[in-house]
Amino acid sequence: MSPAELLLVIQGIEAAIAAAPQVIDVAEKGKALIESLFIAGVISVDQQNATKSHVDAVQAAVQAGEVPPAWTMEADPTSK
Amino acid sequence: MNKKRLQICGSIFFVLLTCIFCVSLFAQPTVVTNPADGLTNTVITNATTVVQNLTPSPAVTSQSTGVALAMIVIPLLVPILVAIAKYFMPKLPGWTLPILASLLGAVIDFISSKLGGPGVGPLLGLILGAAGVGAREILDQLKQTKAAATGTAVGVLAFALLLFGSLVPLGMGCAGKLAPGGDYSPGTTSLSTNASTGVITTNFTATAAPDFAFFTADASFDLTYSAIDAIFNFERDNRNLLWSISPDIKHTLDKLRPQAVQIRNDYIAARIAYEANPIPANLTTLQDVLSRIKATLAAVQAAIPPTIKIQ
Repeated sequence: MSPAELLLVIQGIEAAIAAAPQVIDVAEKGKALIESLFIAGVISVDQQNATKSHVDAVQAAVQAGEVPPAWTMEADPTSK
Repeated sequence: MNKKRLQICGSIFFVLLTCIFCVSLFAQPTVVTNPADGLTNTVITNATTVVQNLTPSPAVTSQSTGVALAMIVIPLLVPILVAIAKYFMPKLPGWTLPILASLLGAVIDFISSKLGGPGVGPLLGLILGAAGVGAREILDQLKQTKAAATGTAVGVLAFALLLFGSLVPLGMGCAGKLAPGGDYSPGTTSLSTNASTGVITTNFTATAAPDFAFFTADASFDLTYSAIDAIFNFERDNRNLLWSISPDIKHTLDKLRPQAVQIRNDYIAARIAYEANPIPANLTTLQDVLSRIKATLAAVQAAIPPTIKIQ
């Protein structure tokens, strides 16, 4: 394996690790929903309130006309 | 761009992400039932005191560590067992390997449990076994074999099916219950004390009917929105790297970004309408927008393929 290939692999690992917190956040939400719907059978007060709070935050952003930076189109990188 | 580099990079991305998904989805909580007194992170209330029991017993902590260990060991053991199987059965068809690996993951978990070791459950065993194939494919690619990275795709697919394919439709169809007092089951709580016994009774008075369908819609939106946001952020944070792999990744996501913003806004508009007037027609509108968001998520996920396979 050449140094350039090794560098690319390391960059890939770094990118995956950097994305981990957000990925874990999504997975935890999924886990909580699975547990509530199919295991506990009851949606707890905390989970109801957390869900409402998340969606209310999105609603507030929409009403303020905000769009997250990652959701907007940006210029292509100039070099490969 | 070198094919091998693309395959290695793509496989590493998604084996890691699959493992992270699996670990966080199924990891045992640190604070669970204390076998000594049977209490489960519970607030115990009586007339004079409020006690919060948050201390895990050593046995529980040990169990969590064992589960974490099993999650690491299974994906590492599976490729070795698959290699042994291929050594003894060289004509084993390639398509059977992901299935074999998944089954091996479940078998390892079963044997571990029977021997008194940590167990992660048959479902997670299957998924970890599939993730193990991804690790094996990386080894294969490093050895310049022509094996396709099917295992990583299976691992990601298993997760996607589990989370988005099964969860939301079943959740909408099932008759779940909302604990009284939450935002989707509003009401007021009052305490009354029996003067003779001193026992405190909690009384709940609902101020509106529990709205399970609205909760399910919001929970599905929250989950889907977060997943789309994670992918958009991943591409933006690693734009130069992904651009060097394929400019199509950014270009495809750029086509989806305005669409995602529009659908997000549509959902919020439908939600505001439903909250103002919670009639079935408005709920149907909400669920229609939700199905469009899920379709958008599928398109966004497809923009970053599980494995980058170049002919």
